[in-house]
Amino acid sequence: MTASAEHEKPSGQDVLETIETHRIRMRPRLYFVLRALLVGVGIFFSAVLLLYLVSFLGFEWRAAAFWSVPDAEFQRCAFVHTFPWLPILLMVGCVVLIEWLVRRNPSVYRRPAAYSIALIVLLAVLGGLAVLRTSFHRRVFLFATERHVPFVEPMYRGERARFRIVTGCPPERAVRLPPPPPAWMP
Amino acid sequence: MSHLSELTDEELARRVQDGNARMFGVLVERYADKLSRYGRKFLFKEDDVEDLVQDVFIKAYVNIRGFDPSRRFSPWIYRIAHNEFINAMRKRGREPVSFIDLDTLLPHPAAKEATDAGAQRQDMRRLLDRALDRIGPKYREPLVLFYFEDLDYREIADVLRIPVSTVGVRLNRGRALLKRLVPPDSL
Repeated sequence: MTASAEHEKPSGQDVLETIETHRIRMRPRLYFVLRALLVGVGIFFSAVLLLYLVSFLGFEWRAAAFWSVPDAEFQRCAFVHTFPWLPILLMVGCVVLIEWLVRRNPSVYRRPAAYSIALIVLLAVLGGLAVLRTSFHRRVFLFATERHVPFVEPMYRGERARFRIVTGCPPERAVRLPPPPPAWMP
Repeated sequence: MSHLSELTDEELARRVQDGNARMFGVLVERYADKLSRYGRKFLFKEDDVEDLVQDVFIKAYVNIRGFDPSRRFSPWIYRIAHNEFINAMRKRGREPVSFIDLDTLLPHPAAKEATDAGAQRQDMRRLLDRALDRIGPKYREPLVLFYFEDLDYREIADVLRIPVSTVGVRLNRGRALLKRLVPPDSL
């Protein structure tokens, strides 16, 4: 090493002096714990939103049932007009966010992103199918219709149409009907 | 001071975490040459590498409590240096630094870690020295980390936060590029 390079190289003493002169402090452990916690919370909420969206798409797809109409042109039009662009974009956003957050972990970034993305999608589909087997979305639909929950109520277009066809009345009227009287009442 | 030389980097880092700032000076002495060399090779066009290295040490000191002493210290500090150097390159805009890389997305066949013998390694270092300015940062950095800083594939993956197989792919492509730019018989 040349004399000039030796002179330019930062020495331990120089760095310690800079730390002391500028009163540089180490970040406390709590900062790193909170940051890890924040990442965990971000992953949790993104995963919950992803599960909700996947199962919602399944629920609406089942409710719309336009594939049961034996008219290919109608099916094509219905598919294009009712295609849920926004939920799908949100789902892609959730997958990207989860991938970005889990990629801080060595066991994730040491492997190709295709593996972790495939795993996230697989878990989301399986989780979404599990949610679809419950009455969760039906209860959300009825609740949102009864309370006119903004954003949520207009989302359930397919179920709204199905409800109207099956029951013969719009859902907002049906949910306001009093419960049927007990069998022993005249 | 002789007993300090027996302490591992991780033990020193643990002492710094517990509040013994003087031990950080020992870590600086151990890494100043390595990080300066890494900076000079990676940012060969920059003239303020020593200032950047000083910033790397300050950032390492500020964030040292986020270091897990059960893992190796060197990839951790090289990671801070990598971020600092990449930021410097972006600010100056002299070389394009891409954000998205398909190499990290798709799986590659498992790359066998190259075990170059001493002489081969020396040849590669000489090749690198002659052609560094003609290789893009994407291939230059893993080559520098492997041939000059003696990091293994896993450690390079930890520094660059890319899959281990991608490290192998970039090194292979970088070596091929080097050999095309500087034919070995011209050495």
